[in-house]
Amino acid sequence: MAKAPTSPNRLPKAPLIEVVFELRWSLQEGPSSQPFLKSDPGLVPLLDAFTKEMKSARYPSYKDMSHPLETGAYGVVRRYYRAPEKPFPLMQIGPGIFASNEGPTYEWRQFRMQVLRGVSALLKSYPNLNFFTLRPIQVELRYVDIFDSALLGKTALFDFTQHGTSLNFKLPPMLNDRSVFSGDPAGRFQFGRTLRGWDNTRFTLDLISGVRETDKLAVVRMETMVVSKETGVPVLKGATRFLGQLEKWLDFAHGVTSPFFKQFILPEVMKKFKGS
Amino acid sequence: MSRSTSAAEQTILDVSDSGRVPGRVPDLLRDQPQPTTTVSEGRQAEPPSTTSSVPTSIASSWSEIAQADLTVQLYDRLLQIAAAPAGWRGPGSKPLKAESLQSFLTFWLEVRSDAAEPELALAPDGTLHAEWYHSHRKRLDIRFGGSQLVFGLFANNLIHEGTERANTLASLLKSHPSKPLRWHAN
Repeated sequence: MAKAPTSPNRLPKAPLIEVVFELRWSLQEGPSSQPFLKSDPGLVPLLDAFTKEMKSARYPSYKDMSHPLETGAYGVVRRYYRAPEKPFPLMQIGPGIFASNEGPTYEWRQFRMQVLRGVSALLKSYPNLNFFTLRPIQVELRYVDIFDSALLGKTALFDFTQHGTSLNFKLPPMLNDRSVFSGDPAGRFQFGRTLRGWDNTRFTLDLISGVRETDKLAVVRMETMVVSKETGVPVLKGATRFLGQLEKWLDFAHGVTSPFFKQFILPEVMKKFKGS
Repeated sequence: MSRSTSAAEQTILDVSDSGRVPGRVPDLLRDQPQPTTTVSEGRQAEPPSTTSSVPTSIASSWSEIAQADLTVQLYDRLLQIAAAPAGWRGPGSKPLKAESLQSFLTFWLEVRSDAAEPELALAPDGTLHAEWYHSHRKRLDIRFGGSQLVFGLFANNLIHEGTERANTLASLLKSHPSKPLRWHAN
């Protein structure tokens, strides 16, 4: 049955389509002849215990994505939801990986709490094994925004950067010569830079243009992420200390991505999302 | 749920210092970021992330969805529908077609100021089905699968059925004396 048209609860953070936090831990290595063969010896007991933890964290609904013994390193085995009809917030677990996602209703402090609640559940759930220890090796905060030609005009990447962002490409005239090229220009721009203030940590901007199959309209996908590896990842010497360090890391990463977005995307583009 | 697009043939413009090798974009509207092979100082390539959860059909219509002024509840329902895999209702049943979603959004943008949000369901052929229900003698059903919308309206003991384009059907329904687009449960 149709719903009353009065709900004020819209999609306030568009163009953000999704924000993802990922924590990866080291896996048991395979034989030296097969260096890609990695496994998570704690995965099966972890799944059982983590599912119970998620239930008490009010994520009682879950969906199996693939069989735990047939899932490759850092693949997702199970997703946890508040309710079957609510795709966000989301918790995910698999061999060597925990992730937590939120959609366009994302709010930073709430998301940070969600991440810490999920990691806390992971630390409580990972089994104590005498031959293998949980050792986090990577943390990542990733924002995914999508813009399409309904907002930006006919072409994708270069129109988007020129009219929608503070980034400008100066292309040689030949690349805009219609007697040489047909169709709209498209491409990918990736920018990565090591950050000061946190060891072994990089900021990455990834802009990818594409064409929607159904009507050939241009689309730009923008990913902004902060990734810390190895020495940049909080050391796990007790859950409380780790969670405290992780909270600081989250604030550090957000302190980079948030002002970057505000400087990068022009206010006119944001108005188009808010203007509906 | 990745799919190839014509854009998959585009060459990467890569100015990063990440050690990633310029190559071809594997899938630009991918659910899961799949960077090109990472070759960095002899270290082995990292597996791509699989943690993005938004289906491609939603991502490729994102601006329209964001501008359609949907409630979170209706957006959640669309996400749920778009996540249904092939075979979701037995062999041969199809996931949501991108055309179906775009057809719904085109219609919704025409009527949203005069309409209650409908109940949405996925049909086994990948089309999107919307229902505005008042009572068992007053209901409107529309099937979205492309540019032609199939509708059935039961009101005032009369049944109207047919196929129309989105803007024509929107005009017809908005001017209908029963105001069927405003029917909702409460």
